Amino acid sequence: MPETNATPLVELIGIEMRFGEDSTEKLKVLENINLTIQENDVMALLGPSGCGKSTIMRILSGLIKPSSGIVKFRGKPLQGEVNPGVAMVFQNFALFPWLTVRENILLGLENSSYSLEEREQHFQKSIEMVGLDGYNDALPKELSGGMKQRVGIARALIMEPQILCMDEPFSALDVLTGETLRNEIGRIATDPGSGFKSLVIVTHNISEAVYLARNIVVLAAHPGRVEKIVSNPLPYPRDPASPAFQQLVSQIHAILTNSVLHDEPSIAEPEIVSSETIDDAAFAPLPNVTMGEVMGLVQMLGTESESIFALATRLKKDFSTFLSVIKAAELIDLVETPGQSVRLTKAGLAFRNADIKQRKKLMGDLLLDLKIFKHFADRLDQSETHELTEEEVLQDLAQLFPNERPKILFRHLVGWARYAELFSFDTRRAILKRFEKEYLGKPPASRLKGAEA
Amino acid sequence: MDLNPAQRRQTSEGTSRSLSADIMVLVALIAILCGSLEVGREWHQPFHRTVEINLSPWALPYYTLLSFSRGVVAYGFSLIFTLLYARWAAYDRRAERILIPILDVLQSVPFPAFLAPLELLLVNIIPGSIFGLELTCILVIFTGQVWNMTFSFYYSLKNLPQDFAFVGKLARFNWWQKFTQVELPFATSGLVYNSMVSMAGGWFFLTVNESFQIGDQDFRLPGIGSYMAVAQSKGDVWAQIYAVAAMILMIVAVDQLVWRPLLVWSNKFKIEDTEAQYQDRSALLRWLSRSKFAAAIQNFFKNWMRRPPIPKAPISLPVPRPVSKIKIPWDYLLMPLAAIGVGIGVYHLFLLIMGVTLGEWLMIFEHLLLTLARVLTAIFLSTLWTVPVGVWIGSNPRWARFLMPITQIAASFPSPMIFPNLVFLIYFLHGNLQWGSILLMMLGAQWYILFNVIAGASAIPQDLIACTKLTHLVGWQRWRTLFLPGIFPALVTGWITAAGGAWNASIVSEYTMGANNQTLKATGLGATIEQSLTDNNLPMLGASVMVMAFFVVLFNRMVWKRMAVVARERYQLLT
Repeated sequence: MPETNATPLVELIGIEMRFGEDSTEKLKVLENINLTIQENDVMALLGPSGCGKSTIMRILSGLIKPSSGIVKFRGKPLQGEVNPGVAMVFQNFALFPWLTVRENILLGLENSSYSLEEREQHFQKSIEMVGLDGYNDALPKELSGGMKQRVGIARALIMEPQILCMDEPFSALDVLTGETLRNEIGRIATDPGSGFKSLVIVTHNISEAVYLARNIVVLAAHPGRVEKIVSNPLPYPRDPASPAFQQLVSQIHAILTNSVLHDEPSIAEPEIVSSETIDDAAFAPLPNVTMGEVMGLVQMLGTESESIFALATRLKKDFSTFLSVIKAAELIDLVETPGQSVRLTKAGLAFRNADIKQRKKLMGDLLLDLKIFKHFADRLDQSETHELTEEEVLQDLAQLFPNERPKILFRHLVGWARYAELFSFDTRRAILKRFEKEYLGKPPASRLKGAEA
Repeated sequence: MDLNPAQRRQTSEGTSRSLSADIMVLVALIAILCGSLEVGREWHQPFHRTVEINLSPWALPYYTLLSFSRGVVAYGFSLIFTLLYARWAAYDRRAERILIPILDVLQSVPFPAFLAPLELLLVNIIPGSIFGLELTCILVIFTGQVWNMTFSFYYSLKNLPQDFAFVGKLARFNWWQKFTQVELPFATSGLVYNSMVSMAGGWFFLTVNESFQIGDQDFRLPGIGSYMAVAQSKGDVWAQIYAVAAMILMIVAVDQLVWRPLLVWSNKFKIEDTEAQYQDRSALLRWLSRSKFAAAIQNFFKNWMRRPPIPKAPISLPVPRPVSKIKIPWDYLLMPLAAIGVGIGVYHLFLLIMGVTLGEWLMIFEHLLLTLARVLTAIFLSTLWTVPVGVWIGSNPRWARFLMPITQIAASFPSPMIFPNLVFLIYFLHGNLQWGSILLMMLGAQWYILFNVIAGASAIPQDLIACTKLTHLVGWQRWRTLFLPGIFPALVTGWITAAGGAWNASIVSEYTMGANNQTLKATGLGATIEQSLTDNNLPMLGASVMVMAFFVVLFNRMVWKRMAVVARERYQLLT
């Protein structure tokens, strides 16, 4: 990060954020976030889903108040008001459907001290910058996604903000449109006449971050925290095909892989490891992944190691999502991940070669090796009715995993267990029970005997 | 709570049909009613029967039960009517063109205006028995319930996704299977919601319904409405409090024990897979679903509904039905018959109205304008307070979740029950009914606006709110850019419902009992209807009912429907 003596534009100091899922349990989504945004910075907030990157952006813009910590704008702490230097571009555009393109854009100057002529000049300048001439009187619903986002960008630019915040601005667009728009943002970001000083962009796309940012903040999830800040000295305009660019991309891949799969914090955190915490650690939370994705991965792999990054690129999968899939497969012990690569374990190979019935059986055994499934299997066996209500399961989950959302965990627990025919969940009664085959009418006698034996 | 009643409440859409068709339907309707009224008069017999109402609070549960069962019976009729009528309209292209305009007109006609003629008619047809009275009462509740249910089911059938219908066809469903497996599930969500609204609407005229007087004749039925009326006329304050409490208790109980569980249950039929931000919750449903007994009952019904049809023949290729050579030309037979019926009705109506002098006509129109002014003022004043309050509640999800059910219960409470008490208050404060009746109208109407505004405001996306903050819009700028346009579609829905309620209420709020059993009236069309009823002035009654019905339909057409179209086209969120 280039050191300057001037006051930074924005500082986040010791930010923590908790959201109340219920009034009793508060989920920590951000932990000790410290960030400094200088003038002329382009900062990307990069990380897997659930790392709170959008929340950080909303905190720095003053839209939501952090549970603790200070946000300073030019050295002055914000006190409940919106950050005066911020304009924002939203993922889903946030255009007012009843206002024309022109009215939507001019909204940015609604409260400025400019005269009508000055407003007009600013308006012309900003629509030229995003290439929107000729659309003045169109309503948002007549525009394509790319055009809508151009309106969103023009509305932010016209305010001449100190900091332009962009919250996943291209992820609601198709790939080609996103690419075009990203290049234009790159051009605008390096254009001294564009009117804003610094750009903060939230993204989950690594090459997007490397293409645009001078500083890449890599975040880790559960709870959201800064994993590493990578500075990117490549000169603009950047060429994604260049070796230097590629090298930076793979460096960030490595950071993410380590953070997601190997749980090796890049900054050593002093922590006393007691026997209790080890026991708790064995209760690994389920990654936010469906069984179908894990199956797909197993189908792709052999016993030979393959580079995770290469696989993700081949599958056109978002890297951090792909990492979660690998993490899930590793948790179940289907794959192992030496270094930056992945390969099937013995169990994984057996699983890949099995037929559907055997697969379910194998998966049932593998899942029961996981503490979380074992826990609920025991709980079910102990319960008088051999049933657990949804509330009971959620309560247990909340206790076991204070940093996770119990409802999401529950969904995956049920999803995995259903696949493995381990538990079944009756949605109408909201009850979890052991899986039993049900038949229409009476079960055939032979099968009944078989089940008893 | 699912906070989207604005989108779920069914009203007819579009204005493609001609106004003249509506007017023809309306004329025919009034003509038939007036015609039968004339017939009824022929059979006129004095009706002398007074039901003693016991004011002891211990009698109240029984009366409440009686009133409740009238609502239930009426609801049963509404449901049957809905299923038959909507299905007919949805599947018979030719019939649809007539049935839907009829429904639309019926929905906007202020039916309570017909209450008096109807009562006279039925009591006279079935003389000396309480049956006629009961039937009228149920019929009036029915007219307050049925229309939006029918519309809801009709639109569900019309919007039934093709794929679902195809699945039914490929599985060779017979009509019963198609009905229970495809149509009903798809329509359930809308039907349940509209049933809830309907049931509430049905109570509105309870007091008037159950204690009805024409001239010196006393048509009274035992029930919570008549209990209240007697308590008011005797000035028994405690009995009045008991009655109001019993009514609220009934509404809350029905809401919690019937509608809420049904609403939650019906969510499983929702086609979209996304989870709503506010999940409807029902403790009762959870509890029921875990009880063995309930499960057994449920299974019984499930098996009964899905029992395999008795196979008539082994499944084979469908044999083409022999086309009957002789086609009965129903159109040509029925149309003239209908025309003759309408003709006779119109003739009778004409004869009846002939008795109204030009001066009286002028008076009717003058009173119409006065009542219109009251209705619009009531809506204006309601909007004035409900919009800021509703937007505030709607943008605070915690409050919304807590207050939405309360506003819905407030909307369900039949406000005419406490009109006499309010009138007393108005006069105590040196007001008069000319202005006071506006307040009485508001009492019923404002809640519809409030809960629609809450629903509209809570549907405004967070990003748009964030955007107004970051562009530093303040005060009025925010209202003008965001909140007012954002809630506009919901507001229009609220206005339409509220206006309907206010017109209906005009009949009871412009002419009401005050303290000491003296009659108080304001100048207006509602009062004219009631007055001519008391005076047994049938020509005047016919003329004013007709004028009101015409005008309300016209106003719906010319003002509300157009506004709804604008709202839908320009201000719909989530494009």
